[in-house]
Amino acid sequence: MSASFNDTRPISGVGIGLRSQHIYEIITTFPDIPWLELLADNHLAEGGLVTAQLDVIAEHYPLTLHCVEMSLASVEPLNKEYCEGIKALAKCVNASWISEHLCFTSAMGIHSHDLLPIPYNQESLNHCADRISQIQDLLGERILIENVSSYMVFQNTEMSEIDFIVELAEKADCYLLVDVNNIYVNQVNQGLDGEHYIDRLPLERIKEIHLAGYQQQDNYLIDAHNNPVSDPVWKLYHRLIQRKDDIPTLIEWDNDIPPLRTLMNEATKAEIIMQQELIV
Amino acid sequence: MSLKLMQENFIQQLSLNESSDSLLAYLEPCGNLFPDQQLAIYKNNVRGALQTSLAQVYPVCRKILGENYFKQLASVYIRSTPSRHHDLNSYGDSFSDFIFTQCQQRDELNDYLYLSDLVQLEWLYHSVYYAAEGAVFDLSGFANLSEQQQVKSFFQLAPCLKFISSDYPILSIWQINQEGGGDQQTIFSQSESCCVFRKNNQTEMIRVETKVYSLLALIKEGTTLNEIVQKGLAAYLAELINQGWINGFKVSHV
Repeated sequence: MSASFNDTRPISGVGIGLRSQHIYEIITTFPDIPWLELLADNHLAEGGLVTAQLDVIAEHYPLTLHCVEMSLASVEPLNKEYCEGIKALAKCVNASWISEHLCFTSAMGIHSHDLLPIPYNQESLNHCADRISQIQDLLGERILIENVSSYMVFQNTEMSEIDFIVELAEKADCYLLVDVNNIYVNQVNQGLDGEHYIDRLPLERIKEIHLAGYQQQDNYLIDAHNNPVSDPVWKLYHRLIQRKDDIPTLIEWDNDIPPLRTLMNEATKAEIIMQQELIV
Repeated sequence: MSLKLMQENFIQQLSLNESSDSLLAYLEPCGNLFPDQQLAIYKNNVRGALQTSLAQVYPVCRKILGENYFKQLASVYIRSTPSRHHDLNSYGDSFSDFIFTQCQQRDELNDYLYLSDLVQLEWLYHSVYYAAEGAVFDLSGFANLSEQQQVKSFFQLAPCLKFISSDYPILSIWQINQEGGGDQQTIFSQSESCCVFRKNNQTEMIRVETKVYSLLALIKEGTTLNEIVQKGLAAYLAELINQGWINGFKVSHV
């Protein structure tokens, strides 16, 4: 399957997830950031300030698209209108690739606006593989699927999350977006082995890494994207980068958003880890 | 439980607040979290997202009612109104109707009969921000029509223009509730018609004469130029085209 709208500028190094709070600063100072990721759903509207500013951003930075409403695991019919909108946006901003979460977001015509988990079993595997293939056919290119934080465990789960993801990526012939913070959140909440997870990842399928901060609740972690990346997450990231040192990495921050400089400092930390491994 | 049944059960519990043990019986303890706690995390996330969205779309209503009371009303609305669109920005379009009913039913809201219209004004402000720009009026194309074609033509309004008329001074109330917005005393107890539009990427709201409002309403209904002339409103057309509010025309072939 060939790419249909890829930017020729490479996505490499450590990028930042673009948020509206930083757009003005970015289009007036053009800071040195190798690439930006758009939350695609925020840019599907027909008009508005953000849409106008997007043209300027797309001209200066290589972009990727990150989606939340393809509902990869949903049993509802695929929202083709939404997917067409994503495809058009990708073409418009020359996005290098499109990513989506491995979860469902809607059922019975009701949208949760949250990333809802699924049991990891054969039924889910077959369903998700078919659905991802359908989406890839519609988009005309492979997508990246992202592991999510899950606060739920189903009785009819038959396989580990990492086994499910490895098999799914193979079956659907898609790429992976590895969210290291989500692995750690699931490690703490569910007791999965984060290091084993990292070691099992098929490197040839990983196109991108996400780094973010969690929020500590009384007796669990929540993937709130409202804090700096934590030390245990940096350690897992280092472990992954030791396996492959050139995976494009992104700093995500969605709540209690700090100044752009704070995100750039987080990106520098990731860049240093990448560079150290390059030297070794 | 099949994947389909699980998803339906899950979404019903999250959005429709239906209490059912079937999903809980299908879950296993996860670390420190028992099944009911697992579900509670998602309920909290889902409702929190909708609460945040309503609070962002309706800041003036929130200010007038106070944070806590607004939150209470929003919770009632959310329980009865699940999100039916993938775009979270589309959520809350019926909040004005909901507020109208609440004002009829709750004694403590008896003095807030204007609130429903004010909420509608805030919705228009929100939706105009995301609306398409629309084309520029083709003046020479219109001038090239024959006189007979012109009188039979319909005008089109820019997608980024909305308008509203109220028995209450809703724009004045909106304005004094902005930062540095002035004094409550400046509000006159009169009806107001206003337009919300986006120009040069800025969303603006202005008061308009009743006749301008009537003209906009006629254009929206698909009234021909001939009928507009007969109603004595044609004198305002040039200004509306200048403003970019009228941005197109269609010739009737009837």
